[in-house]
Amino acid sequence: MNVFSLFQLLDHTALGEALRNNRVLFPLISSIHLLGLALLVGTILVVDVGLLGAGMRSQPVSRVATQLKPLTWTGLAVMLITGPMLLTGEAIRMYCNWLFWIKLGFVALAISFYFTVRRNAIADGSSLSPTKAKSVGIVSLALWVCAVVAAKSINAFMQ
Amino acid sequence: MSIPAISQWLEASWLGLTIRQSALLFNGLVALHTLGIILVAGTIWLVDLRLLGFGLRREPVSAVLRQILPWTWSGFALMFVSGSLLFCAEAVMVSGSIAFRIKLVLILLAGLNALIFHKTVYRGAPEWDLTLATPPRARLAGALSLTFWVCVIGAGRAIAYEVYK
Repeated sequence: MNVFSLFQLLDHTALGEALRNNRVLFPLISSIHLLGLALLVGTILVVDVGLLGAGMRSQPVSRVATQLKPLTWTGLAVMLITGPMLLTGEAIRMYCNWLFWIKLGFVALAISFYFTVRRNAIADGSSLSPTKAKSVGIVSLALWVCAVVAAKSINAFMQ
Repeated sequence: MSIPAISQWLEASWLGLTIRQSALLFNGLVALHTLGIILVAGTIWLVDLRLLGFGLRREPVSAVLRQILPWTWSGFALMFVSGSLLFCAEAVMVSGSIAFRIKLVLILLAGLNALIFHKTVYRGAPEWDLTLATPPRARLAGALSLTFWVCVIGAGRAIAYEVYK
């Protein structure tokens, strides 16, 4: 099975049908998707600016990160559930939109970075060099901003 | 001057026309507006959740407020400026939207709630700064703020679907 037939299948699900026919369902799930985004990126941002030496600076970054992790993961879970749900409403349209794939690419990069380089850097704690901490913070912020900008641009290039 | 008249004037102004006629400018502002609301909601929720005993539980309430709120304000400035510019571009449609009016009222309520919190219960913060058992009125302020910003996001999404579909 190739990617296109998978997207075709998504388009034909009962949920996809419901999203296209119901006026309230799409904005509702889209709002929940945005709530998840605010929680995910808001909590990640507080740790990232911590790595840059701003924000929560009177406590160690790792300590802040540990406390925020459950919230970040909640936001991520909300997004990973509502995102594919929204996709069923316009799967083929998205398949044909190159910005959708750019967004997906940035999201994949940002999540991978979160679970690898960023996590290791935060775990290093006080032994982490200021230059490395700053680079990790900037890359993480940049990846999420790019993902959001690409996501918001999808509609602008929608046929 | 009535609201429809002001809206028409805004849309026909140089600013309104310039933004509406440039897809790059318009969508750039939409992206900035989204980043602004992420910053506002994402950071204010951390304060709200701390008041309710979640998230940054090991930090004093005052430390969370002092270090997080400047970011909330930056987000609000970004949201307000980009939002006002977007409003100029589509003033007639947006000013007629019920969801838009609800959103403005919700933002006002969120601001009022924060103001009351700072002027009343937060004055006594030194007594409960370190504890997870914050006073009921602080919890109420946290719960209200959390709810108002959730609803602001919902109303904001509703504007797009009300106006464009």
